[in-house]
Amino acid sequence: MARPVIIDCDPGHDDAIALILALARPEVLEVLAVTTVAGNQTLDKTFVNARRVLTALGKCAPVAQGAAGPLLRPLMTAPNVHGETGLDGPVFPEKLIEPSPRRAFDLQVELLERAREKVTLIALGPLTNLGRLLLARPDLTEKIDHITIMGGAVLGGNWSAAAEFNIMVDPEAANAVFGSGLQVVMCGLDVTHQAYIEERDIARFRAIPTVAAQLAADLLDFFKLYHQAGVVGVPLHDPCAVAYELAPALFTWVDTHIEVETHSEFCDGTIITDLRGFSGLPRRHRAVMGVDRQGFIDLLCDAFETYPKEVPAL
Amino acid sequence: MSDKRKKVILDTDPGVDDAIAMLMLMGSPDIDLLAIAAVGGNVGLASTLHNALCLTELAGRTDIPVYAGAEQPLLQRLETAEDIHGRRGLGPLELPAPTKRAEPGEVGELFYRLARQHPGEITLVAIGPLTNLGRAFLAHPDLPALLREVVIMGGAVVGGNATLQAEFNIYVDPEAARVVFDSGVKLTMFPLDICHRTMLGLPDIEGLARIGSHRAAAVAELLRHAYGVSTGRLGLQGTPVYDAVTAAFVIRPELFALRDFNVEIELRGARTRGRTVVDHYGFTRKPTNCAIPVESDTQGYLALLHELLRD
Repeated sequence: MARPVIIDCDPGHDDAIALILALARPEVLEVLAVTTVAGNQTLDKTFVNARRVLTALGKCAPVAQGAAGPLLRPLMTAPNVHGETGLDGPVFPEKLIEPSPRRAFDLQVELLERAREKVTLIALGPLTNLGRLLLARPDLTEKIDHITIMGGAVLGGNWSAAAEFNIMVDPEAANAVFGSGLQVVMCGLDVTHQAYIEERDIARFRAIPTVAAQLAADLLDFFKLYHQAGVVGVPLHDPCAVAYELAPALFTWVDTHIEVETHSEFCDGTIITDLRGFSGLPRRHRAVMGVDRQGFIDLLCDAFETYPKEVPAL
Repeated sequence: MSDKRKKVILDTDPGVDDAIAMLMLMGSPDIDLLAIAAVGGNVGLASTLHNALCLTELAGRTDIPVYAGAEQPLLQRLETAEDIHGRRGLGPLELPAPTKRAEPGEVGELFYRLARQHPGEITLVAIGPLTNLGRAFLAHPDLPALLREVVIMGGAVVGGNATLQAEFNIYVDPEAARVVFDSGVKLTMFPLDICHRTMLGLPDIEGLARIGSHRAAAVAELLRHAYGVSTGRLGLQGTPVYDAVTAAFVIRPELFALRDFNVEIELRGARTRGRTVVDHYGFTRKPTNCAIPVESDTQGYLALLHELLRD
């Protein structure tokens, strides 16, 4: 039976590929909704982009608009990585699927209240929407199985020396999520930098004659232009979080306490772990540390194969 | 014939692992140990100074002058670690009272005087809180350029031991650490990480005990204590003898592979004060200011211990 999930995202090139992966096998993951948040780009852009991706794939799920900015600080975006639209590169259809009329918060609350089995939340952007939900409605944690995120890093950072972008954008929201009492599976830079692709992988995607594979290849031809210091290939950050849900056996991890620095000179958004176990704090969370890269690429290709060659215009 | 030995000043807060590092450096024919400065850290200054004096006598090296450094960190009160090092700092090790006393004089002035006597030649090895060094650099801004290098035990790339994010030596005096890391001095830092990958096990310790010298017996006793703390309360698989690993680098640098990084000292963090913020991926593009060991030869380290502790 399909496991129900809600995907919170800020597409974003790697978000789009994560959505392709998540929507490929409805018999495994049932995507109850896609909620959007400001992050890689501003909220209006990520909201349109989520609908552009679903339209291009011929998939329909409610797409609801969430937070325009972090809980307690101004927004930072990443136009240097994702371009002005947030999804520069591919050509998308003009006419898009209709958005949900509901706010992301209201839709999340309704879906969770109604859920007969526990829902898994997958967060691919800053944790603003999830932080707000868990701060406002702590009673709903019993409806949530766990939360899997792309964000953070045990070692190093990609938006400062010690912080990863998604966590650095809204560290207070991240702390609300890590402190909610739920298990958070953190797919951070430690694993996503191992889930990189090279030119020949893009060529392999390009050779698969489906809308999903072509979209992924178009996205990556733009996304590969951003080169980050000290990193091999093009890391596919967000798809790691979805891949963990589909095929956890591809990954290795350490269970540990995790919290987030929110008030500092150099470390806002830094993930604080206790890998040495000195603190005695509960090891509630999971820091994903490694991936079978080839298995991950194969999983993506298998997902691309499930899509049609063409999608009729709306 | 010119003296090929490395000129070293040791700044230390003995301390179980400091004591082993001291015995290593005092016993090495490759090291010319010009002076030892004590600092408050693992235990209070009265004890670290006392222990330093006792250890020079154990090593038969009362020729090395011992100085009393800072009792308190630059801007905060001293926190000590008797839970790790025992009430007087050397765990179970009892040594005869020293016959010699500390030399008079301010430690910062001593560093400066020796550095001017031997410009570009001195390796300053600091294996406790960086208070003495920070104070000396504040008093003499030209001192960093007069030193060959500074090698410290302190900090961590991932995680801490005094807090989730801060290693003890930096945690005790983060402001002094900031002064040292921002000074422009050629700096090598031995963080928790490499020390945890260069651990000694019980058979290693018993092997050292069998050497039979007084110094080896003392080191084995200290190591058994450290092993008990490490594998007991800390849940480790062996004992990471932080300062001894650092001393091994000073004596035999080829046991380690280093990489250069930019490292900042976090002073304000609510949860990260005292963290050494290592720019692992080079994201900030700030110039590198610190070398960090990324690989070590544990067997070579153990062999060096054997070599140094033989009579």
